[in-house]
Amino acid sequence: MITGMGDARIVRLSLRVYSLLLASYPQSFRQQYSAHMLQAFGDYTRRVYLQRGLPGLLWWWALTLFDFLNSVVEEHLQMITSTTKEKFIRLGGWAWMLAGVNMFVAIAFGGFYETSFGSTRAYESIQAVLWTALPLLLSNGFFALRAKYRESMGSLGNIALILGGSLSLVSFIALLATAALTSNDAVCVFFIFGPMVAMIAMMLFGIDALRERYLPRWGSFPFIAGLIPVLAFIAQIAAENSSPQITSGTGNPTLIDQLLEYAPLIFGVGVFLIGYMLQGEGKAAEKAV
Amino acid sequence: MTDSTQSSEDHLPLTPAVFNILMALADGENHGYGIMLDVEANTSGSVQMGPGTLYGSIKRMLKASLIEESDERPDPELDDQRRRYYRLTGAGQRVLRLEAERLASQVAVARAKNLLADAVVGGRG
Repeated sequence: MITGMGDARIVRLSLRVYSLLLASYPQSFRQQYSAHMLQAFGDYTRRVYLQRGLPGLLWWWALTLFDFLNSVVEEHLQMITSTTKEKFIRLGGWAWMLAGVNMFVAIAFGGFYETSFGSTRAYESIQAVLWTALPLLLSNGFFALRAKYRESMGSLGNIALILGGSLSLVSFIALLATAALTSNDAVCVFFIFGPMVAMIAMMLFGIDALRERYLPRWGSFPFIAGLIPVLAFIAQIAAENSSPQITSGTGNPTLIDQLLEYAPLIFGVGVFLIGYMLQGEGKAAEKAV
Repeated sequence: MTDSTQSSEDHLPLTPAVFNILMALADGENHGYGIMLDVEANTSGSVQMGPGTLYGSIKRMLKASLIEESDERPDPELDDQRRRYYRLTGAGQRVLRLEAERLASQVAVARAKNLLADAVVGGRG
């Protein structure tokens, strides 16, 4: 193998031109493969020039230019597709972290409202904004989770995330649409509908995650975070139907009352932690891309 | 998640570039330039694979766990240490065999339809 100074001038020129062309590939691809590509191109160019002379070299350059154009477009397209997906996953992680904080703040404001500390009207407005934004944030996170684990999840997880994402989005749109209504009942239905759907979807996704074991850590969190609120609501409905005096409003709070009080918080903590994990995964994948 | 969780059948049909690279590695580990030479030899000179197609395919094949990097060198003293060697994985061997079988069955159909030169000669003879 002839190397370095021993190369014919035209081979050295070819190597220089090809090294300039390599600068057009995406950075990550270039970092990994450009040195090897240049080496392989150089070896092949020397061989072609020695065996077939200038006509062979020109033919090889024509093939190389076609190969370059084809592959540079393909690598850029792949990078854009992968980066967009990873960014979406990361954004979904942040959305769920924000949703967790959002729930905590909304519940805290509910507490303030009950004590009638300050302006009641202001608390109501802030709570309305927070509860309206919640389904949108949850929807984003559900779709991001699906994008991240689609290939390893089972059909239960897939259905749960599609339903969770789309129904949360429907809930958000409905909340915006009913914002102008004076009837609080219609608005309240959608305030409850979004989080309830999200909790059920989270529980089903949690079952799938436990079965298929694709979450890198905190594998039981989605199930616990979804199950407890759902159980609390079911227990409350069952208790109200069987004996109305068991539940709140008749003296000391019962276990169901306490469970119901902390259920949204448990769900919020679960959402925050899964969001934290998801944005971390998205960040790592984005760096890899 | 990578493509490594896909089953062997999911990779089929292979692109010509991937098939040629797997064929070039079927005899043992090789580096980029060696693969380019093998592809040319295996196709009687009809395919000259450029570095862009080669390393783009290698990147995707590594991700799909069809090939892996090898630390072994055939003869470290004679070889350039900068070279990166690749070899087939078990999954890569399975996929290559399946693709070869798939192509062979297509060839059998073409033969049955007298589309191949030797079949035509045989038929006429």
